[in-house]
Order: sequence, then C-alpha cells, then structure tokens
Amino acid sequence: MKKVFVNMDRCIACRTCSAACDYSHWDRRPTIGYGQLREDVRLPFICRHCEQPACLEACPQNAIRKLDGGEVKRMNMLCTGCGSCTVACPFGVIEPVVKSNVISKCDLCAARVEEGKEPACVRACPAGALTFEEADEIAEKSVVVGSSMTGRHPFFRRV
Amino acid sequence: MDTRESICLFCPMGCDIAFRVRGDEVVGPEFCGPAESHAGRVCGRGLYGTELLNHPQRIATPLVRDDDGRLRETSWDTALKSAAAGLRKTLETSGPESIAVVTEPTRSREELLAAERLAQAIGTDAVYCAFEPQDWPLLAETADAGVSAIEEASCVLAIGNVFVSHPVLAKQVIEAKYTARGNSLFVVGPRRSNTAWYASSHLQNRAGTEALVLALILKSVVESGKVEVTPPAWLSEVDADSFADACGVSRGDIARIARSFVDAEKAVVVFAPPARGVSDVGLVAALARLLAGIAGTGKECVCLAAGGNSRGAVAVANAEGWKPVSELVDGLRSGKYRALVNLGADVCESYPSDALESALAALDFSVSFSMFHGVLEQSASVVLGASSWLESDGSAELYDGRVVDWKTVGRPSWATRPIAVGVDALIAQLGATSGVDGKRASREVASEVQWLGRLNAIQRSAASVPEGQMSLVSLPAAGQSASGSVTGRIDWACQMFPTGFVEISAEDVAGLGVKDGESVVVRSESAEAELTLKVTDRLARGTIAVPAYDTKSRTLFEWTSKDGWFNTGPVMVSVSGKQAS
Repeated sequence: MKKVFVNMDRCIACRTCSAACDYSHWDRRPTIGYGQLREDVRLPFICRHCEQPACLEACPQNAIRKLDGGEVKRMNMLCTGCGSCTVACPFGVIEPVVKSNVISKCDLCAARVEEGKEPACVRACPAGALTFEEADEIAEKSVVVGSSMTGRHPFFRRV
Repeated sequence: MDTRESICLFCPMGCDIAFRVRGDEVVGPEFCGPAESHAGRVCGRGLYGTELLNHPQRIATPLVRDDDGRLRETSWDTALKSAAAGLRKTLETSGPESIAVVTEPTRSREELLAAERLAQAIGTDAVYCAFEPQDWPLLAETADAGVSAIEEASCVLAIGNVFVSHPVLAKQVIEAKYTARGNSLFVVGPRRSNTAWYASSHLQNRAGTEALVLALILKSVVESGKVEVTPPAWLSEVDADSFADACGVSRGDIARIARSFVDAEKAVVVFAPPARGVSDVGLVAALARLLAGIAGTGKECVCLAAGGNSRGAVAVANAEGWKPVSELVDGLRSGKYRALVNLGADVCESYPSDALESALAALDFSVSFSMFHGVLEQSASVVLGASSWLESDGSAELYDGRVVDWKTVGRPSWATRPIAVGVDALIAQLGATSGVDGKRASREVASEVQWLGRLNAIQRSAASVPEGQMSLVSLPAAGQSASGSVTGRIDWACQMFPTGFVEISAEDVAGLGVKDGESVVVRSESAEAELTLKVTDRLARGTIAVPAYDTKSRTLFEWTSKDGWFNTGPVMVSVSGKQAS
C-alpha cells in the first residue's frame, strides 16, 4: 500500500502539513503533530498504518480496523475517545484530542485518494519533504530509517 | 463544487492557490493549484486565506459611534455620510494637512491607488503605506532575480531565516544544495535557524552586523583577484580586522564563503531580513546587489520583503510622492494629525507603543476600513468592513518585478466591500472639499550614500555593547505573517506559534538566576515586558530573540523615525528575573 513518507533531509519544520491536515478534514482536527527530538530536529509525526497496529489491538471498542487496502482506519461512530490507542501507539502519532470524545487519526485523506489525488499534507508540503509512495518502491531508491521494523517505515533519507 | 484560482499575498512570493467554491461561498483550500511557479505549493499562512473570509470576528456591518461612545450597526449610506461629515468638519477646523491616509502593502495596486485618490480629494499630502520596517529600504532599488535563479544556482548565500520567512523557497534551495553538493549553502545570521540547520556552513555573526559580513565578503572577493572589476574606492578603506571582530566571525570563514561564491558557475544571494535585527537593511540590500554584480556572470541577488505587494506599494509610493510611514507614527504621536483614514492597515500592531495608542484615542475623528477589530477600531468614529484581496479583482507586483492579476474567488462576506469601491463612494460623499490640489513632488530616493560611514557606524555600535545589555532581535514565523495582525486570529497559528516568550542562550541565563519556563522582565529604552523564558542553544551569547508577530514583544522596539525611516537594527535591552523587578 502507499504511505506518507517524511524525507528527513528536506523537512524544514514549517508545519504546513499540519495546517493542510487541519483544513482538509470536516471535523477540523489535525492528525499531524510535531515532534521534537532535539531542539534542532523537529518533524511531522504521521500515522504509519502499521502492518500489525498496536492501536488496533488496544482499542476496547474495536473502533480501529485494518481495511483491505492496508489503511488503518478509525470508525468515527464507534470511537469513544478513551485514549487507549494514544497510549498504545509506539510512534505517538495519535493525538489525544478528546474535545468531542473522538480521537484524531490519520485516514490518508481517503476521499482525495479515491479521486486520484495525493493526501493534503503531501500536496501542501512546500519543501517537498512528504511523499505518497509504495513502501517497496521507496526502499529501493532510498535508505529507509527503521526499515528493520516490518511495515512501519517511518522516515527515509536520500542516498 | 467549483475550483477557482487566485494568488496568496501574505508574502511577495505570490504563490498560486486554488479554492473549492460552492456558488459564491468559499469552502476551503484545494491543495493543488496550477502546476506553475511553485507547483501549487503554499505555506501554512497561505492556507489561512480561506478561513479569514468567513472568520467569526470579521467586521460584518458598517458601524458608527453614537453619542454614548458605542459603535452601532448602520447602513453603508449612513456610515459613509457620517465619515464624510466628520472629515469635512476636521477640514474646516484644522485644515487638510491635519488629515492622514494610511494603507498597507498586502493591498492590490487598485486599492493603493484608491488611497491616493482619497488623499487628493481631501487635499492632503499625508498618505502613507504601513510597510513592515524592513520592506521600504529593502525594495528601494531595482527588481531582483526570480525563483529560477535559485533553482539553477550551485551556491546559495542566504542572509536571514529564509525557510521560515518564505517556506516555499525551501524546495528550490534544498534542491540546489543536493544538486551541487559540497559547500553550496551558506547562511549568515545570529541564530541557528531552520535555514542555518540545512547550511553547509553557518556564519553566526553578532546581531545586526550583516552589512559588515557582506562588506568583508566583498573585500575578500575583490582581493582574490578572480574578478576583473575595478573595486569601489571605499572598499580599500575597510578595516577588515576590526569589522571581523565586530561581527564575531573569523576572516578564514569569510574567505571560504567568498571563494565558493566566486568559483560557483551560478550563485545567488538571498536576503530575507526579519522586522528587527538587521542594522541598515537598505545598505545590506545594496551590498548584496553589489556582490552579485561584482562577482561575475551568473551571480544574482534576491531580496525578499515581508508584505505581499510591497514592491508594488513602493512603486506607487515613489511615483506619487508618498511619505515614509515612520513620519505618520511620529506625526500621530506629536499630535500633528487630528484625523486618520485607515484603509486596511493596523498601525498599532505594526508599530505598537503606548504613546501611539493614546495618540490614536485622542484623534478628533477617524475612519477605519478594516477586516477585523483592532486598537484603532476601539476609538474610531466610523468602522467599515473591508474585503480581503481574495474578494475583489486586483493586481500586484511581486518581489522579482512580475505583475500578477487575479480574479475574485468569492463574494465578500456579509456587508463588507472592497476598499477601492468604499473609497470611491466616500469621495462621492465628500464632494468638492477645500479644492487644494494634493499633488506631491516625487520623492527623491537618496542615491549617493556614504557606505563606509554607515558601515563604520554599525561596527562601532556592535563593538561597544554596554555591560549587562543584550541585543534584541525579532524572529519570523512560518505560520504568521509579518506583525501577525491578521493571522494571529487563527486558532491553528496561535497554537503552533505561541506568543509571549523570549529566547535566551544558556550562557546568558546562567547569570540571571532563572530557569527555563519562568518569567523574566525585558527592559528596553522605550518599554518593558514580562515574557516567558525559553532557553535555547541556537543563539550566540549576547543576543536574545522575540517573535515578530507578538504585539507585546514588539513594544520593546522603538518605532520612531531615524534618518527618515525606522531603525531596523537590534535594540539594547536588559533582562532580569521577575523577582528582581
């Protein structure tokens, strides 16, 4: 399946992806948070749609499911905002937004992708740091950081 | 649902931006504009455009202040009549010279010319454009190269935090760096900014000394003997050692940058100064252009302003003989002006000070065309809802001299009107006034400049920082435009780019007895502010930084006229723990 990759050599931490995410979802709940590893290294934290999602296993309501295409989707109607997935996510990409008892979760801009477009964050990135690609393809042309963790490839670096 | 295209005027890059539109209502941004100049990319600021159109805090109806001092809703006709009556009264009592007109540089050319028409109808020569302090001196000369120069460059010399002030350039700069490899991106600035983090080499100079660094690079380029030009006479008188000492940089680093710049087949200087922190912006821009000119073929210069139509506004202002806005601030504070017509500007956010606020409150009469309620609107006699550039057709001149036209994307919300339309209606209401012709002589731009004298002045002030004082500079943000007067109303921007903090280096904090996250009091000559301390390893010792979009922090800078324009350099401040105050 195609995933959103962050090229760490290009991200300038301008947070445009976060704004784009904010504007492209009806509930105005951004799913891209910002992580700071050191003061110098800040980058967007985007859902990796893991092959074995910890959030799915943690959800007591079975509100998180893995679709046929591989996307990990939250079922809005079932989510109670308990925050179990937030705790379970090993990458900290699920924001604990409990405003209206629903957790924010990346849906890979399902509606846009259906129309043949890229997700909003990828389209908006001014530095070209975000790409929407097949995990296998990107592994061939770049060094994928964390590639030993099956199916979770979060970031890549150019070689 | 349709898709309509327009441009973003939050900065002079003029990115193409597309909107989803239902009927005449703008629904949201459509993240894929035409695949031209910036491949449809915009930064966080540009995405706000949509939200501002239907923002709940927008001025929805014309408002007139009644005898109780409260603003009451009314019709456009009544409001324009009151505005005309008030202006006529001030004309009779104090004369046309006591009325000032002010507009701002994210307005289209048509709206700038409307300001000119209004000033002529009133008969005043006091017409101003509220530039960000760095923009006027930055753009005083000819237009620069465009984005293509950066794309093709194998060496980029960036002065300032280009990635943050103009994020859409990042792609070009990063690609240029990856294509060229090696020493190809140099950044000059007192803070290890996002741009500096990407640099092959970051020259961390003392705050405000960018002009000295460029003079040293120029000298090094000429001395290398690789260029066949006659060096300007003043360059031989530059005392390189004292300049390097004042900048806090080594001459070896300067020589390395100069060598890479000259040797590169195509190289470009990109200059994007913050609102405050670079002394004598005009001189730095002139030196950058001289460097590009002297270093041989294939060398270009790109100067980036903060305001979207700043170049267009400079062109209109110079052609029509407008005065520098620093005179407006001085004139208001001294009580020279008794009435003000504001066309979209927010002088209190741009040049905040207590003195200006009380001067605005003491005006006899003021009319404000504005999108949102600000400080002026609290005391204005008539408040009219203005539309943004997205709600009317217009044209603007970008940083590289390109002229762009756009069509309206949506109907103005509620009862707002484009400024040009409102101004013409106001002129019709005013009718024949005093009959004084408001024609002004063209403003003369100082051509002969004493560069060496100005450089020496910067060297002296940088070399003689008093004990216990630090240089305060302002920081741009990727999600807040200029002074933040408009974008500061967006929740997302407020969360992502918080206000009320001051960045200090760990070495400087050691002597203060305060910890990260605690409150400190920062005192400058003009004001003092209580801000939250943010300890950083990005700043060199002796420099502290506040966000440029924070009004409270901006009061620390003095906004008065100095040599005909605002001082753009850092200010000296002292910092103490809250208890000590």
